[in-house]
Amino acid sequence: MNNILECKGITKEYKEKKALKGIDLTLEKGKIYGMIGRNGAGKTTLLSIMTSQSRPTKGSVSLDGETVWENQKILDKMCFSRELNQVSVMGPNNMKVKEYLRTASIYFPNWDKEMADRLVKDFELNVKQKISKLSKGMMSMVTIIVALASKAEYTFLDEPVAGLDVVAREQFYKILLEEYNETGRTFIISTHIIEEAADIFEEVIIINRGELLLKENTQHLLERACHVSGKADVVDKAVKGMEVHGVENMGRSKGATVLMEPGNWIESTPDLSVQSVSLQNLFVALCGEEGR
Amino acid sequence: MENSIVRNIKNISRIALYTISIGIAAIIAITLFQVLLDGDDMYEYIKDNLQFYYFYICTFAVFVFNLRLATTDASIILTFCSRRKDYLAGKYAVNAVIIVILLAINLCIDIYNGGVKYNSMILAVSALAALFGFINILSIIITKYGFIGYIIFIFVVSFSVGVIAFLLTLTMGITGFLLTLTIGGIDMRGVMLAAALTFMVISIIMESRMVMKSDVKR
Repeated sequence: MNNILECKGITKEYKEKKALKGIDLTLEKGKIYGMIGRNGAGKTTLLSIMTSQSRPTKGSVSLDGETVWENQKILDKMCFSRELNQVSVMGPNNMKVKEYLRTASIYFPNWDKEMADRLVKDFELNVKQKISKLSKGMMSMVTIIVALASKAEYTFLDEPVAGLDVVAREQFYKILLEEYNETGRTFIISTHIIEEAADIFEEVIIINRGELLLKENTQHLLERACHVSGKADVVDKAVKGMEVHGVENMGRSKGATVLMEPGNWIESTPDLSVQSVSLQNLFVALCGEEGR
Repeated sequence: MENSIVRNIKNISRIALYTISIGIAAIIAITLFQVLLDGDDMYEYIKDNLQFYYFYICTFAVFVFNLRLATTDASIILTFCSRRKDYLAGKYAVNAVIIVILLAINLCIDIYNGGVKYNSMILAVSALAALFGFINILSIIITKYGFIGYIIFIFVVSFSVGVIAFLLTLTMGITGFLLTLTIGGIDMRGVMLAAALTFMVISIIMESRMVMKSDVKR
């Protein structure tokens, strides 16, 4: 099949931990995917494996039917803009921003220097500064510039808005959407700031404890999710046989987040309140259960 | 579209030139300072210390450059979706050119000092091969254990080499001793060269295996 990035049975084991547990995932070209999950859920590990930065213990990743691992033809279509780390003594921290961008320009065959220069100007970045001297937000700007200027068909961004202020985040979403509309590139973005980014994700991928919890069109997912609250017995009756998450008991009242089959809906009654949920609240209901 | 090996050679050469330039700039500054301080003739001063300059340049060109590659650039290169084997090919190609240039410089120094010395060439090849092997092993340790591993390794190696060198120099000069010795009909120069080259090849194999297998960390 064409233009499909396919992960089959991806398992990643470290000495003491199983980071990914047999993930099967198919990504189509020309979409913006949002990858969300709690800290340590395995998002970065999965992105690393998808881009050949790590080798899975089991499983394989292919693009257009060709394996990604050590395949330069495929790797030339990819860019993984990793989160830069302030505390790391290894890696790019000793480099100046301009040196880092120059290195990127050598390795990404479709590097858009004009765009990189424009973004540096827009973000008011001092390219003569060392990466280790940058604030967390500025480091995020550097990763965003690399991701966008790489012009890679498949662009993976790991926590691109971490540390960015709200104005810079809005600026990023705007530039990202402009780029997406112009080029139709595929973006896979992992983030913790779900509420803001929900609108730009065409599809959402939720990873929980190394497992793929769901991958679905964001709009469809939100259409079939709702929050039900009311007297406990009324709620229990209304949600019977449905996929229920995030149950909250408050005396004789009860609240729960429900995922219904497409096309179904629970009607509100005087004893039962049914409200739509945001992606963030749905995520908390889906992934917050074990933490309670 | 540019070949991935070419991209690596281009980038790694740039890093090598940058590192060596810093080394040269530093030694020029130190020499100027020394000459001005002592009021020596600069030409005579450099001529008298040619071996030191050569050793200094070798250290920067082989050791410091590869150390920077291991600590800073390798993870970036792999993050920017380069094939691992192309990174290795680029690294070894650039190092091969550097070593050939360093040997040529050694040859020039010998000619300048009155003629090509066979022992000096053997020693230079052995030393560069051993130094390159050593930095490859160091790269493996840095990648696997980070800076703590690096510091422990440097400490252990420096201590061991220091002790051995001290013990040997107590009796006689290491170089002269090794290069003139023939035990049971075997020329020790050949043994030393073979050992250094074997060490270098083993280190290359070990490093290649590690780079091909390890995860990119940041």
